[in-house]
Amino acid sequence: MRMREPTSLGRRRFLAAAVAAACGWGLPPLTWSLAAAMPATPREPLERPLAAADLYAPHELAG
Amino acid sequence: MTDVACDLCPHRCVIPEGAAGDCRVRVNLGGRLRATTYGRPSAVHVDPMEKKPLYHFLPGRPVFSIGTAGCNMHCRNCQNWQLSQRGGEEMETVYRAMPEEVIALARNEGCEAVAYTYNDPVVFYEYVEDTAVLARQAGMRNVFITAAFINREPLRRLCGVLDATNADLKAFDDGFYQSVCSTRLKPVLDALVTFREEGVWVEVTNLVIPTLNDDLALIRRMAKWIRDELGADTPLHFSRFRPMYRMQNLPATPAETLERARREALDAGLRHVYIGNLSGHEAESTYCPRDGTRLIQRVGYRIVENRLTPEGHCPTCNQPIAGVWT
Repeated sequence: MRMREPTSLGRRRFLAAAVAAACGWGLPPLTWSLAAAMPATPREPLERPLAAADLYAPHELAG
Repeated sequence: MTDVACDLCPHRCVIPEGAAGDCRVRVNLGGRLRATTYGRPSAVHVDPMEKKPLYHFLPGRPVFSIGTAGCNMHCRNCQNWQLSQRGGEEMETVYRAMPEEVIALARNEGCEAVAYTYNDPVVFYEYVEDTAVLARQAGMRNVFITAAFINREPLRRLCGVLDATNADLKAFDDGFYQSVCSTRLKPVLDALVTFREEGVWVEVTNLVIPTLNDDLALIRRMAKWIRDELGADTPLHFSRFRPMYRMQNLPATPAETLERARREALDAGLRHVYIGNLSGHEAESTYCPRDGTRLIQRVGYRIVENRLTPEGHCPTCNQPIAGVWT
């Protein structure tokens, strides 16, 4: 099963700011701190070994 | 902080430390030039040779085909932009396959050749070279599917382990190369001549795009150049454009345009001119240039009938047909 991409600090701050906006503007510093403390979703390993089963998958690549 | 110069292609990028060249995959790490896609293909398939397309080289054989991320061209109509216009870190799939693993798997699959293809193999030059050396040692051939934007010296060296190429000649017009591909025409022409001089079997593909490079006078000039510089036996493939990537505003190439282009190239003296990306067209097949006998009948990438003699001659008039048949 595919894992989610890690959520960047910038994106977490954006989400936190959106929550803060919904709750009142006095909260951003606190929510940003909370966002920074949130653990990122683990990233899926980027590389995998080549297997024979992959070789005959239909594809649309030219060449 | 030490810049490095990459002399592989005519861009001749000077790359600051920690940055990548125009191709996105050749980087300066600690003052040394590194190819980040070495041993890391993003597309690996067993394809028919006809798909490359190579029509006069080991017809009907399966070819172990690998491609990576990155490209040194940025064509607005790129058919494989998901690979070519990304760096390795942006790919959804990256395999780990060092050259010896590629060759072992290719042998297991019964492939007689390895193709370096999908994105432009120029940008994974070192991976191509190391894999191609092992392929040769294992008795396999190497085919290089490229837009041929590469400097002469590295190409000459690589030709020592290459057997065939299909090179894109995108238009016989430097303005097209500049505006559509962000490159120039002259180095591509030089590379095609180098392939021929070094004894690599050459086929040429021209993707015909409505209004951009379908002018018949342009096509005639291109065909004459191929005839004079590469030889009249060089197969030329006119390929049908389909709206793609950043060129969605143009229609697919009409069949009549491709047929007119083919007629022009035949009239210019080329002996083997094909139409591709138009499955079922009679110009997918190979004909004897002397008596017109249909020699290899193709439908799409499939060979329906191959009547060439084992020596590669026409069975009716014994005309030798240029190519690498065994």
